[in-house]
Amino acid sequence: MAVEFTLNGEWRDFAGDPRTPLLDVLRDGCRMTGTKSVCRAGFCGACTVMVGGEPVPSCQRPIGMLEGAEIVTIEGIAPPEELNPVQRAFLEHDVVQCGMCFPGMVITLTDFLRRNAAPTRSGIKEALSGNMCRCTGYERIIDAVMSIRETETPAAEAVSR
Amino acid sequence: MMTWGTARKSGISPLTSPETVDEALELLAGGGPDTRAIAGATWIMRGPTRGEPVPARLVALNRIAELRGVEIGALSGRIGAMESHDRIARALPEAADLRALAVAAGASANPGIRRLATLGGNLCAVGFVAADLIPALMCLDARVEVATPEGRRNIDMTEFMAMRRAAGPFLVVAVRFGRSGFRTAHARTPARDYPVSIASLSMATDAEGRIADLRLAVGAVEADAKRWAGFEDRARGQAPDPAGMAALATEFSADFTPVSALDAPGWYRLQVLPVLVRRAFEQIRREG
Ligand code: FES
Ligand code: FES
Repeated sequence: MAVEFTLNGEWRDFAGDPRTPLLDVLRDGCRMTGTKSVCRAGFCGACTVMVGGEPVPSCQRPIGMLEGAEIVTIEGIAPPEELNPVQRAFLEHDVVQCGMCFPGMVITLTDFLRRNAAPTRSGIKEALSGNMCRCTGYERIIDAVMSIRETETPAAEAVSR
Repeated sequence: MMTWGTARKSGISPLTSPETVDEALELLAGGGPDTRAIAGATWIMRGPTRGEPVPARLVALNRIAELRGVEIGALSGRIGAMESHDRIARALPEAADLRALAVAAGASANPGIRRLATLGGNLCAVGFVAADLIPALMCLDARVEVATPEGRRNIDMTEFMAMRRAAGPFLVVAVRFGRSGFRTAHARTPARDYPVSIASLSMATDAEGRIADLRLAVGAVEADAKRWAGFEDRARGQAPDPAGMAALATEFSADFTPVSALDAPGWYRLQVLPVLVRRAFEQIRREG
């Protein structure tokens, strides 16, 4: 029996093996390759997506457990052709190197800022403790997030769509 | 790449989502040998990275309402097996006797995994040495409600740790514990991510400030967490001096046969244990 869910606001179904990780459904089935496959063990955070309004590692979610779930990936975190405040800050602060970790970081931080209007540096570090970057130092990422705090917070509706 | 158990039995879906405990037990009993229950699924889904294929049939417990709920009263508490670490950490009230459990739930793994990984999964994942909740629940003297095809039982944590390897289907429904005047602490290293050594402590002192009663549980050192009976017996009646307690931990560390794994060799797990014992006693002293 097919599993039905919404992906970035659109209805989808998946009729394959219900044990398939959401990560593979997204990348192979839906061609949403912004979600990255790295450790496949819940350690690195590169595969983080929003499921039911919470950021979780998609490599750890069998699709069969997600009947009726609302899923938002990096492709749907902002309206088409737009960037959300986290994405904009990352560009402006030039923090991205290879980019493998950044879709997961954007998802995690967008949710974090929605819940924490006035974050501290240590709060940001704690929020990112499940998102690893092998290229950058984390300090510039944190600088970028702190700059958002001074201007705007990510639109809640973009996260929860 | 994902690897899959292949012993499919015709007509049974590789993933079923029962709505009652009895239905889940039936599916576990009838699914064949390569059938496993999944709660948060984090241990099973990362199986392929350990060289363990995802089982042929999974019984997902996320639709069973009875396995939910964090209810903390003045005299006792109950936590449903399907509650996540994140939910538990956020739902526990600020209280000295629950501090170890709150730290265990709130510091484990990373934020994404804490939103998925459950109490029941932590209790049942044989082979997952770094479980934070188990030693914390041992300190609370928690009892585990276990459902089997023969009926339900409430057993203590030590008995549960032995029975969880038993053949035959079972499910953890909830844990229950009494509230106490004990003060608790949960010290682990590293502070984040997956611990390689854990000391979880609960303690009550007498009118002279000496240890009247204590429970010290050690996790991530041996394959299964356990109460440290030798330490507890010697510590009762003594002053809860952190340095003295660390010395006692060193003296009795031969009580353990530590496991070695990629994240830490056995000797290291044991070597840091007295430091964690000291920190646990320091936390209790500091936080009163
Ligand atoms: S690929 Fe999922 S956490 Fe690393
Ligand atoms: S920019 Fe390369 S892993 Fe983060």
